[in-house]
Amino acid sequence: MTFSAPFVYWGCFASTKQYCVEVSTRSLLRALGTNARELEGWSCCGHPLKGVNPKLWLYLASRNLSLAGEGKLLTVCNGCYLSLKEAQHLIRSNDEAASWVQRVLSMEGLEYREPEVLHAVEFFNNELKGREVARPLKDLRLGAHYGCHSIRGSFKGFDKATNPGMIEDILVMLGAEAVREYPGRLDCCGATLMAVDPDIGFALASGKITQSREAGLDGLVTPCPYCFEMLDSRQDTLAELKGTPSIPVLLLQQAIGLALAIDRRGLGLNFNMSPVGQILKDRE
Amino acid sequence: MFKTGFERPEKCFQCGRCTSSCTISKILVDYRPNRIVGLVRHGFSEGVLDKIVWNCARCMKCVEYCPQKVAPADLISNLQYRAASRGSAFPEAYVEMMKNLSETSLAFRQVDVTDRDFEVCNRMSMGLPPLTARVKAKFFEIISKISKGEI
Repeated sequence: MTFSAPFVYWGCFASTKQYCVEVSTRSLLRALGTNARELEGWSCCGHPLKGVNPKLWLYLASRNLSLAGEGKLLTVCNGCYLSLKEAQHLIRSNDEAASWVQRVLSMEGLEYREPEVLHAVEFFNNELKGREVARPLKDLRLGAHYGCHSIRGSFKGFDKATNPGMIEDILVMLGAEAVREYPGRLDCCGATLMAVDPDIGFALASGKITQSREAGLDGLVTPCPYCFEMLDSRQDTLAELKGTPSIPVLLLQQAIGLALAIDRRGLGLNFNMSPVGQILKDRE
Repeated sequence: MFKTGFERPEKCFQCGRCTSSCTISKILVDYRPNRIVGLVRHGFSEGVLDKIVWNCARCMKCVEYCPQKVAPADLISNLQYRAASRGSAFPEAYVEMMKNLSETSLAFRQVDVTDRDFEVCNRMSMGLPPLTARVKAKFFEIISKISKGEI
């Protein structure tokens, strides 16, 4: 199976704020020789606005799908992944929705197309198979935080919703010890609540980090920019508000890049606010 | 308006698995997806759920664990839309995202980020390509029409 030459879809959050996602992904795509291409003309995927106006979501999701034609569309955000997969699933199963999409896309001179939507996890899992890593992540007990929208939804995703294992498989390929079961492994980070009721968002992130620390993990690895922000970048606030312990948090791309001996800035590791020094020491 | 989710409230037999799996029910005792589904099913939902539906974390556990494929999260998303289109207030953050979208085609504004070495970084300083002129004028016309309910 080959996922070569995908169109990369950056999404809003990775390209306007959580820059380590775009920086580290670009470095990996270069290092792995994937012939990835930019998706011309992309916009927001619609995900955050689905509740406010579902037609707006459907237009935004379907236009980005169409831009990739029949090719492969690589997503680096759980929100984008869910949005695009659910839109495809809806358009396939609902004729009214499908004809509305065709009509609106034609106003923009586009025609609805069905690319293969890939999550960064399945893409990198595939790219890393059979490859030797330059600098294995030895002596690290790492836990995966999948994030809700990579695994749950009405569509069929890349892994089992109730017991996924692909991130752990990647961590093993990188030479780390993957902790396949720990309390709260598949729980929500609380990011969506930050727009509605931050107290609840903080409570969820705090619970997640506390459980990871109590399980004796050396660090958490997540593929989602939103989860990354909740779990990595808010640890100071959480410590102040709730006395939450700290734990190193890496983006999946950063963990892969470390094992491939890509330098710190090339992985955007200068943006991590969690104590990643605990993981980085003796590894650079 | 056609259906934009996979909700099937008519199939609910009130087993409560959505609520026992719900992220928010563990924190807000009044937030119970099975009760929301029940109210909709019996036609008592209009207006009374306008505020509470925004508390959904969109963790999708209810969708995963429902034995009847009721998809409560999709139903709740639809209730958010019904509340918003009735003029009920929705979280300020979404107003901001709508504004950003109509001006830039993205839900968020590009920001400068201070890294852990206290260096202020932006796309240019990191050698990332600029985010300008990705969409055509027609894009903004379409989202304006959708927002006004014209298409």
